[in-house]
Amino acid sequence: MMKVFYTITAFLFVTVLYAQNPVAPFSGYPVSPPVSSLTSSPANYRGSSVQYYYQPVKICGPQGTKIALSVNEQFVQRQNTPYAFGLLVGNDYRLRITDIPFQPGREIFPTVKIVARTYPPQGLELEFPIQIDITQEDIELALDGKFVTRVIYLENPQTAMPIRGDSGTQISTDISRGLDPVAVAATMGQPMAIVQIGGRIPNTLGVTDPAFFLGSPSWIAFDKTPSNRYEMTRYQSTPRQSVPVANGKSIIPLR
Amino acid sequence: MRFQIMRFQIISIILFFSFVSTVFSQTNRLTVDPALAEQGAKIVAEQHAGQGYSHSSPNPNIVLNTGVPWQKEYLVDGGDGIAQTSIEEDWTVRNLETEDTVAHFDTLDGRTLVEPSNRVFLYAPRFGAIRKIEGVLNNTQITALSQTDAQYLLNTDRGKEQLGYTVQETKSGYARTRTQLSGIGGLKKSTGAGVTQGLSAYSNFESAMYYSNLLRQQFIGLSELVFLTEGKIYAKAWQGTEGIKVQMNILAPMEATSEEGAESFFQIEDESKTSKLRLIKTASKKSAQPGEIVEFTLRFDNVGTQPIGNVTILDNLTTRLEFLSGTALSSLKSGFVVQPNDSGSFTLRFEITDPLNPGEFGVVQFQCRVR
Repeated sequence: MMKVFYTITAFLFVTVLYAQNPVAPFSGYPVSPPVSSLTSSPANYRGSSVQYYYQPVKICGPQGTKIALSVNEQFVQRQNTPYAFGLLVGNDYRLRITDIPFQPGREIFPTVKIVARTYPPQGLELEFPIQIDITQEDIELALDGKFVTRVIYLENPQTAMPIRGDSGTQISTDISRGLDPVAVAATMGQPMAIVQIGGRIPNTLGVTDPAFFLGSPSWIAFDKTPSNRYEMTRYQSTPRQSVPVANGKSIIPLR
Repeated sequence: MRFQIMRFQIISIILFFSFVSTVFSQTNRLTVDPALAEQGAKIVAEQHAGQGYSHSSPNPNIVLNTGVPWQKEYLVDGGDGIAQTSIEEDWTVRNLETEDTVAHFDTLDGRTLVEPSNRVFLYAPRFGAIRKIEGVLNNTQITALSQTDAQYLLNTDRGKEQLGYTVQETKSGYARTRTQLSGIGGLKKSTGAGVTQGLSAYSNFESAMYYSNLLRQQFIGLSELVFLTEGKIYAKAWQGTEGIKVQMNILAPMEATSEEGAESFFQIEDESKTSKLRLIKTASKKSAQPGEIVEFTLRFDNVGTQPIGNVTILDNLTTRLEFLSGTALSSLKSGFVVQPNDSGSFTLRFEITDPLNPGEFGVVQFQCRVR
C-alpha cells in the first residue's frame, strides 16, 4: 500500500515540475553529444601556428536575429547577424541567439569550435572569414528538442561541386545519423568549424553553472567604421581567484 | 717480387679511387630529386629519340609541394598537371587534366610540341556545411543521464517520443560527391565540331592588371617588381613559420637566405635552329568572392629561331570557374571552340590560323565567373 502511495506521489511531483517549466527543450542532453573523435586531440589541428590566432568567423542567422558571446561567464554586446568575430582556434565558445523570427521570447545557445585556420593574403583576413550559416530550420529543430550539428569545411577546389555558390549562401548537405559529420566533411575538404545547436540551456532557477560558458575564452569583435575599415575590440575574461576556506582547502567562487 | 709489390700498390690506388668515386656518386645521388631526375631523363630520351611529340621544357609543376595548408584556399589554373599532356599523330590530345593550360604547335621538321603555361593562383575559398540532425531518444547519451544534475534529469521529456520517431525527420542523404578527374581523352583537333566561332580583334592590353609590361613589351617593369617582391615575401612567410621542415641526424637544420642580385649578365646567341613557344597566363585579380568575374589573359611568343604553325591553346578550366560566353578575344586571327569538360566546366580551344614567325606574339583573353 505504501509503495503505491510513494509511486503516485513521485509521479505527481515530476508532473508538477514538468508543467512549471514552459520551455524545456534539449533537456534530454545534459552535455553535448560527442561530434567526432577526429577533433578530440589538439594534434589533429593543423600546424602549431594556429594556437594564438584569432580566426575571423562570420556568423549568419535569420534576418533580425541577434548574437552574443560571453565574457566572465556573462553574455555581452548583442550584435545583429551577420557579424564577424575573431575566435581562437581550438577553443569552444558558447553563443546566445535571440530575437528569432516567429519564436518571440525564445533563445538558443549553440556552441562553436574552430578547428583550423585560413591563410589569406595579407590584408584580406576580414574579407574572407569562415562563414557559418545558422538557418531558421536549424533553430526551430533545436527548439523542438532536436540536436543539430553543423561541420563547416573548406571545399577542396579540385573536387568541388560545379554549382554556383553566390556570396551569402552556403552549400549544405544533410547526412544520416549513423555517419560522423567531421569524417564526411574531411572527404569534401578541410573541416574548419563545428557548430552544435541544441542541448544545454542555462539554469533559470538560480546560479548558472560556470561550465555552461565553456570558460569564456577571449574573442575579438570586428566593427565596421563609416570609413569602411574595421575596428577591433578584444574581450578577455579575468581569471577567478581562489578563496581559502577551512582545513587548508580553497574554492573558486562563482562570479 | 718487386713487380708484385708495384702491382699491389696500383691495385690499392685503383680501389681507393673507386671507393672515393662511389662515395661521391652516392652523395650526389642523395642531393638530386628522384622525380626531377626521372622527369629530365624522360624528356631527354624523348627528344633524342626524335619522337613526334615531347615537352619542350621540363614540367615546372613537378616540384610543387602538395599538402601545404593554404592549398585548398586557392583556385589554380594553368600549367600541366602530373600527367603530361601529349598530342598524338592524329591530333588526339592525351592527359589534359582539369586546371591545365597548354599550347601545342608544329615545327618545320614535323614535330608537335607541347608547352605548358605558368600557373595562376586565385584566392577564393568556398565553405560548405555538413548537417546532422539527431533526436533525443536516438542517442546513447540517454544512458548517461545518471551522471548529471537532478534538475536536468527532472526536466526531461522522455516518453514523449517513441523510438525511431525521428527517422522521418532526418532527410535522406543525398550527398553529391565527385572524384578528381584524371583528365579527358579523345579530344581531337576540331574543325567543325562544337561551337566554332571567329573572334573579334583585340588589341587593348590595359585591362590585364598584373604584369602588363610583361604582356606588352616582354620585360618586367618596376611596377611588376612590387608584385614579385610581394610574392617572394609570402613565399618566405609560408615556408618559414610552420616549423622544422628537414632534420638529419642530430644536427639542427640551418637556414641560409640571400638577397643578392646577379652582378653580371651574359647573353649567348645560339645560331642553331630551334622551335620554342612561351605561354604566359595572368589573372585580373588576386582574390575573388563567389560570383565575382575574373579576366584571364594568355600571351604566347615564338621565342625560337624558326617559324611555328598550327598554334593551339587549350585551357581546361577548373570546376569553380564558369566561362562567360561571348567574352573570348584574340589579337590574331583564330578559331575558338568551347566544349564542356568532365569536371562540370569548359575546355577552351584557341586555334591560331596563321603561322607565327620568330619574335611574333599573340594575346587571347576571356572572362570567368567564380562559382
